[in-house]
Amino acid sequence: MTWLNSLSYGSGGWGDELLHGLGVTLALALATFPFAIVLSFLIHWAKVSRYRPVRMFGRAYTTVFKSLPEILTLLILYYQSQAIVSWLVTAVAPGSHLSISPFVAGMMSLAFVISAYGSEVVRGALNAVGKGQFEAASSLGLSPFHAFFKVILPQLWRHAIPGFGNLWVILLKDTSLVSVITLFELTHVATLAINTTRQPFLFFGLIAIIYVLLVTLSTRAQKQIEKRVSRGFIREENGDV
Amino acid sequence: MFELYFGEMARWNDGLILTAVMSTLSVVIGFFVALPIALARSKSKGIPGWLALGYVNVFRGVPLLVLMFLIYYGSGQFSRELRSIGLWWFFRDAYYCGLLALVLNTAAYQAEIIRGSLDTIATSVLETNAALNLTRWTSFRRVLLPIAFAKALPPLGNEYILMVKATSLLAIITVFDLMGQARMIFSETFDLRVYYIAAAHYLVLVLLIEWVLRRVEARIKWMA
Repeated sequence: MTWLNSLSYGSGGWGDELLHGLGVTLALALATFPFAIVLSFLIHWAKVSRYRPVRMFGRAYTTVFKSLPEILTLLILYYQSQAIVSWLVTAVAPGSHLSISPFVAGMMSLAFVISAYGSEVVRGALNAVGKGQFEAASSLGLSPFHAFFKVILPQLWRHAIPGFGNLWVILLKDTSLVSVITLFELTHVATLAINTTRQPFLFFGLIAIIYVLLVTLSTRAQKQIEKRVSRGFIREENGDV
Repeated sequence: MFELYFGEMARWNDGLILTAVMSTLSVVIGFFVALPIALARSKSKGIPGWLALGYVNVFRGVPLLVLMFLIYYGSGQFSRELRSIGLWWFFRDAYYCGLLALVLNTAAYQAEIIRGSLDTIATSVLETNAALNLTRWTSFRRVLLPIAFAKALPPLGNEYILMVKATSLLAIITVFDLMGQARMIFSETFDLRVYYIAAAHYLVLVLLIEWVLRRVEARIKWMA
């Protein structure tokens, strides 16, 4: 079985490299997601801010990052941040060298794109919690800060899980795009393996299966969490509460 | 900035047209692929339902880029077999392979959208159709499908926009859509502004489609 050989673990096969690539893929997705969630809240607040320029910024942010193809966002951010950093470095300390890694560039652009969609998840979840909760909290004398963290947030995340779960799946699949700027994640490792083994169907088929498994596992986990957090709430025909 | 656009106007326009054509083709073909899958998901409890579920889960789980690589480069591993059954002309061409990947991908998403809207049609509509003595086929074609379509239009419009963005991945398998032309011009000039021009194209294209969709939705809202 020559094809099994090329997947073996060790110097002869690509098994260990693929495993490493899988690790990078997961690391990228896991590192990006918390940023994306926090950014989602910030962008939502920007969109409902009392200051017009801030509102306009929030709207422009979502429009731009929802309209541009992820790969274009990635390339622009990668090259542009590279240019800015090297310009800064020559301004501050001429002669030294600093560059943005593909991992950081991928993290930034994926977080921007996901948070553009995430801000709408936040809006929906906040609507589901209702304004009354915030009003009740502030009439009890809680500061907006405390009202949010002590009253709204504990109720909010139950409504946000389906939306953020979907975004997690999108994020997981979008990490494959970062292979274009040569990050050694799953897809890029597969292309490298194909360059030497000449078995494109085997390797791309294999990583396709890995992605499907990751997505299936994620949705399973999401269903479990949804079930768990909606304990004690009456389920209606379509949707929760 | 201007010379990068006006100097290369012909290429930008070619790219724009190809992006529009590929995304529209894939959404339209994908819709007709999605219809039977959605029906199987919505109405069948047996093997067709399971197959449809499998299709949807697989093609929504694979990143589009990987699917394109799998079809375009992966088919190369079977070039002799494909030649002997006379399908090589199809898999040799990046345009056809890319279109196939886009169609397979969007069909999975559209099937779920259509299934969702089929499932929300009230049972009273079905009962009315039975009372009017419509056959199941007539009932589906003349009543359920139009209602389902009107209900599904907003998410289908979203899917169209997602496909416009997704066509940019074609550039990676050497198709000269908007993104492909941008990459080409960038490789000649090494001027980052090339990508900003491409971004402006996508922005205008998506905003334009959103505007048109809003108008169409407003017209057929009564049906949904």
